[in-house]
Amino acid sequence: MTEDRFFEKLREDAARLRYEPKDAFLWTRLPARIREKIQRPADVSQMLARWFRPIAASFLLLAAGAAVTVSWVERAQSAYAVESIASHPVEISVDGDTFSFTE
Amino acid sequence: MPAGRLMFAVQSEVDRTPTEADPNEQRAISAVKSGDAGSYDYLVSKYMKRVVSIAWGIVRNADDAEDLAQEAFVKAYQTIERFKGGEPFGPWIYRIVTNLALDVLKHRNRFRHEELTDSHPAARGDRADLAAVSNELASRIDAAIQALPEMQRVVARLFLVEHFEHAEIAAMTQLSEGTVRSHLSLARAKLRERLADLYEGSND
Repeated sequence: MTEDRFFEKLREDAARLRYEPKDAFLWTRLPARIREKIQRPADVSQMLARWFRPIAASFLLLAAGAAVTVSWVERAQSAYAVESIASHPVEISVDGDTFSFTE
Repeated sequence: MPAGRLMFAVQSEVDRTPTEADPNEQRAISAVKSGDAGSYDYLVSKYMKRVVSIAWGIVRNADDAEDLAQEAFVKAYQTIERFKGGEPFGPWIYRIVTNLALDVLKHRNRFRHEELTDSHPAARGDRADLAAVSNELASRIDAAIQALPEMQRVVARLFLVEHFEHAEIAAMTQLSEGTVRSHLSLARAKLRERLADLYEGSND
């Protein structure tokens, strides 16, 4: 018997190992348990979570937006500072000699 | 074949029908998304046998399997907004229950030492729930699969017993298809060795 044929045959035979509960009420009990869980009114923690989740998400979005804005403003300001030093010559006097730094 | 088993087999085939072929399933999903919790009953009834069977195959304990099935259906319900319309519900619920069952295995492995020193370690897995174990052949196959290393056992069971294909198993276990094939290949070699006396004499 080839490897493939062995596995095919084994697969046919193994299908009978599917679960069959001795407890016949399982198939009525399980849907009832699930129904009870999903139709139960939300408790306080779930209600709070439902409210806080979108609020937290909004704050996160705002914080991310603020961080991006601040970093953009800081970058713009530092570029302006370099530019203003370049456009205004700096003069330093040492022992009567004046040294001028320009662009 | 007893009538009960035949009905179960037919039900399993129904379970594997794609959603496109079952407009009721699509309607139920849409209704649940719109807040009609009662429509979820249809999905539960359609998939529960297979979901319990998958869970039981991994955790081998009837109570745990029932709890896992419940947890999987509740989780699927709570996150149904994320479920893409038009897709079959089956693979999604199978993936959820497989992950939950694998988590139980991980948890058990973590506490294996305590389990091994337990005075009734055999109580963990209840073979008695498996009606087919009374059959010699089924019993031998079951024992051989159970003797495999953990992931080989999980993958082999999903392939051999539940008849999922490689890609389906990969999606359910979050392994790559190559890894699934590799586990199956190793499992096949071991199973062939262990079941040699049952299959080697057969010419078909």
